[in-house]
Amino acid sequence: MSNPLDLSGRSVLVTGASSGIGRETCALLSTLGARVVLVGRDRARLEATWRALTGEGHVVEVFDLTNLDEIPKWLQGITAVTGPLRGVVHAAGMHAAVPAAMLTPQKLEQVLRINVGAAAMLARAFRQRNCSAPDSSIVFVSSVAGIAGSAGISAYAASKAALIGLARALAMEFAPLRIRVNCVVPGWVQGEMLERFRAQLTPQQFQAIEAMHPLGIGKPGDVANGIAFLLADSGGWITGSALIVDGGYTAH
Amino acid sequence: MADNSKLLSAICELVEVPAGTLDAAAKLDELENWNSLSVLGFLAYVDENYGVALSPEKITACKTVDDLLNLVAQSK
Repeated sequence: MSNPLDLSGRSVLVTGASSGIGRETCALLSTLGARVVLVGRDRARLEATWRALTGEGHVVEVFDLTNLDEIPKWLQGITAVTGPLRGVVHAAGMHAAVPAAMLTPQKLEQVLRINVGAAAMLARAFRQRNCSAPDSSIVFVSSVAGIAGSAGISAYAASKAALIGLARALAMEFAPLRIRVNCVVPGWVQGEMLERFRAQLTPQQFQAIEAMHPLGIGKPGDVANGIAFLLADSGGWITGSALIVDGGYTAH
Repeated sequence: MADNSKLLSAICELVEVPAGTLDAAAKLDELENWNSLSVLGFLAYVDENYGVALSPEKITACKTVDDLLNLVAQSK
C-alpha cells in the first residue's frame, strides 16, 4: 500500500532546525524518507538535530536568515549540491512580548524581518530555476496569534498574520509552477519559545494561556505532523490554506 | 543619576503620564495605568535596554516607582 506521507528521495529544507517545531519537523521528515537540509545560526545545535535524524544524506547549513538579500544566491549554492528541493519549511522565527506602549520601530523591524521577510525571500529563492522541482511545497509556520487577538504581542501577531496573507498570494502566483504554498497555524507548544515567554509572565498570566488550549499545551511533534501532511502528496490538492493545529485554541 | 532619569521616563511612557510628572515615591497601585500589561512592558524595556531579565514576580512585588528603579539597579 502506498503511503501518502512518504517523502522518499525528496529533499526538504527546514529553517529554525535547531529547536522546537523546526527540530521536530526535521526528525519527522527524515523518518518519512526525506533528505533534510537543516538551517540555523548555531552549528553545534544543528548538528545535535542532525545526529537525531533517520536515514542519510542530511545536510547542515549554518546561515543567518536576517541577511535577506543573500537568500536567493545562498539557496542556489545549496541546491547546486543537493539538487532541486521538493519543499521548504520556514519554522525559524522570534516571539516578542512587548506591549504597544513599549514597542519600538527597531523591535517591529526585527520581528518582521525574520518571521516574514525571510519567508518571502525563501519563497522567491525557491521558485528560481533549479532550486525547486515541480510538485513541490512551501510551508510557513504561522501562529494562532495571527488570527486570535492577545494583548502584549502585537508585533508577533502582525508577523504571523502576514504569513497567512503571504502564503495565499504566493499560492496564486506559484500555482502555474506547481508549487503549493500553505501555513500551519499552531497554538502554544512545549519548548524554548514557550519557556522564554513563561519567564516573562506571572503564574496567573501563564495559566490563562494554558486554559486557552482545551487539549492542553501541545508538543512540537503535533505541529510537525501538520507540516508533513502539507508537504507530502497527502496535501497535493491543498494550496493557500492555513491549517490550524492548536489544541482547540481558536475554537472558543 | 542619569540612568535613572531614562528609566523614569520609560515608566512614565508605560503608565501614560507626562514625562517628568512621576515621583520616585509614587505608589504603583495608585497609578491608573499600572497593570499586568505594564509588568510585561517594563520587563521588555529593561531586557531590551539593560540586557537584564527580571522576573515578573519581582516586578509585581514592587510597591513604588522607587522599588522598580532599585530592582533594576540591583539586577544589573
